[in-house]
Amino acid sequence: MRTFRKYQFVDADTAKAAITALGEEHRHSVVELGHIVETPGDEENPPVMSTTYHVDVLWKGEVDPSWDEQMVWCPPMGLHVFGSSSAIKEWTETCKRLHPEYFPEPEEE
Amino acid sequence: MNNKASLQLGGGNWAAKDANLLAYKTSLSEKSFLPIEFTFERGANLAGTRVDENGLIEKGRENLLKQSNIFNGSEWIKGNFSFLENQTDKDGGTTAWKATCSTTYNYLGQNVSGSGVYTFSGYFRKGDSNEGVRFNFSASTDTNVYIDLTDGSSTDNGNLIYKSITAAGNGFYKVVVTANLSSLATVRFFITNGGTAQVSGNIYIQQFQIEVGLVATDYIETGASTAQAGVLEDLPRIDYTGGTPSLLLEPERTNVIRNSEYLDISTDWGGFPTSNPVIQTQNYAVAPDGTKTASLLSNFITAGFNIVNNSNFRSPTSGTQNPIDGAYTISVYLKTTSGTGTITLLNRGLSPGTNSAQYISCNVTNEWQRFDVTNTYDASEGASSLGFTIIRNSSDTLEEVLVWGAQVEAGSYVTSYIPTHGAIATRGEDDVDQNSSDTFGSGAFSLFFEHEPIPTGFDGQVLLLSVNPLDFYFRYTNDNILNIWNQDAQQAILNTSIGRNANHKICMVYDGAGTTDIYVDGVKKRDGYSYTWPDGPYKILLNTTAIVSGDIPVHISQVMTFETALTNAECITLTTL
Repeated sequence: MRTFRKYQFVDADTAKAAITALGEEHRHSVVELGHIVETPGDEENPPVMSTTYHVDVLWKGEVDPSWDEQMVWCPPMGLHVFGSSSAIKEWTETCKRLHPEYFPEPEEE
Repeated sequence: MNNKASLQLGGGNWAAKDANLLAYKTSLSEKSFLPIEFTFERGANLAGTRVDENGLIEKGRENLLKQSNIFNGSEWIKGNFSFLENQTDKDGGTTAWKATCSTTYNYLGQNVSGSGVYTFSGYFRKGDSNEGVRFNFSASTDTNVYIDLTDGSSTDNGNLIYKSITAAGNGFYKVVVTANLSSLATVRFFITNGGTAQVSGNIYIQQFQIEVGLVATDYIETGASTAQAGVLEDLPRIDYTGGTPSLLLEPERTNVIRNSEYLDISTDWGGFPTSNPVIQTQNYAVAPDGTKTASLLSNFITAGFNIVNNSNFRSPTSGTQNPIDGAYTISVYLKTTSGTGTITLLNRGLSPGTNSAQYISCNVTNEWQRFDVTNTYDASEGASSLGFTIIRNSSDTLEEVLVWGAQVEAGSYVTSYIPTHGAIATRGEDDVDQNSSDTFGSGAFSLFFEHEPIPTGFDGQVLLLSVNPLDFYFRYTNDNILNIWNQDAQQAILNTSIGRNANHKICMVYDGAGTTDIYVDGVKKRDGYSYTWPDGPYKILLNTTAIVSGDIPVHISQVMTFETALTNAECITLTTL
């Protein structure tokens, strides 16, 4: 079983320290998204980047509870996905349960 | 099946069953063949691909709709709709449904969440008194297609990439709609008068499917859950690159281009010069996966100035546009519209300076080929963003080229294609080892191993022979040195130069009396290594990371063990390429 979760750290050093603490032999998939785009840029304005540092993890087995304080939720699948339909499904269903506001129903016409 | 082997994996017996890789354990005394399973994990279906028996790239597919042909089911938002099942369908059967809506402006729908490129496909027939349907992707910006089911004509609005309405039999039309969507929430269907007026009444419907990507693939029936087909999660990838089957084992990689097939120049990609840019036409030709999703890039009329590039992605390792030190590889499939010619693929901007860009002039033919370029970033030379560029250089000859499957990944070599459709995607590592079955016990044995190590410049092990608590492993060190390491004696059994990107056959033979010989590609490379192998049982582990040095990407063609010492002649025959 694998579990997909998204994390936000105050800076890169904190994120890298948490990753290092997992040990050299861990079998989780860790993808550093870094400072993500919060407001896209255009020809006149550069993009506004997050000051926080973002990391996606596909946990092999249970989620490491020491990472829970950094866990974040967002509307589904805009930036990065692990290519696992079962992990995506579990993440989406959990996100919808915790944050139904990210899943608006269409208004009647 | 080799009639002397005690274990056979691969060769003519490749088989994948569920998430496990089948091998055959044989008993000479009982004259029986016992299938055993190698447990296997990858954790990716939507990002894992292979070359199939037909030479086409095969992906994982998923119908994201639940109850795809059970329209009165609980997964559907039914509003004021009612249904009659067992209606005549497109094939003359009775799997279609009559959908009746008692009020105007009401819809049949289902929630589907995500962002990116999505394709809907389904079948519709006009009703007893109504003549059309409105298809709607409800997202940040809606996509609508209004279809007249009397003649298949349609109008549309929104972020539409592609639509087709084609006669499918028995009055049904197959409707395909592809759109680039932000915050997709719901897919909806309204009954219309054939135009844009949404009315009460009825139509006939059958087999709906929504999937990521640019094309509608074969229908996948779903029930209470979504369903998948193709390269499934945890399924071993039996790869037919080169025409013969082998087990493909690769490390984790992320494709940081978020649209690897939708190469729309108005989004991530840029066409230059702005005054007369390169022109991109989506879904122009059949791609390496057999679907009509390849793009045509045309108007490369001015050498040195006509460019298509994509720098709208983040570093695969640092998460910023300034990558950390290391190698990055870009890759893409290219083909001409006719004849042959050259175009340049350029991995640019990693290290500003006179030698900052790495590029190759691609000899493009009328057959699909994958080209790749690796560049190494060195922060001490300054920082710049990553970039993927196709350019007509001064010596290039092509004014147009077909393009598909763009990829940027961290690492010094290219790995198998990772499709992306709106978000960057990570394919997990292939992880295979043996289950509790044991291979051979004490005394004489032979181990045959055929494989192709894929890249250069990467060291690690490809196979492990394990007898608790000891490991004996076959690994590559110093780029092209095959090293067979005896953990017990802490010494190399063999160190020999061997080429990457080529098939190799190895046989290690123990006579049961303290002497081991090793044959590589038909030649005895080690004669009389003195060591008494401990009593078994032995296990075979493929490409395991149990050893710190790491995995090496590899095609494994065959593994066999024998509970006997093969003769010199047998070993030469077995290992001769």
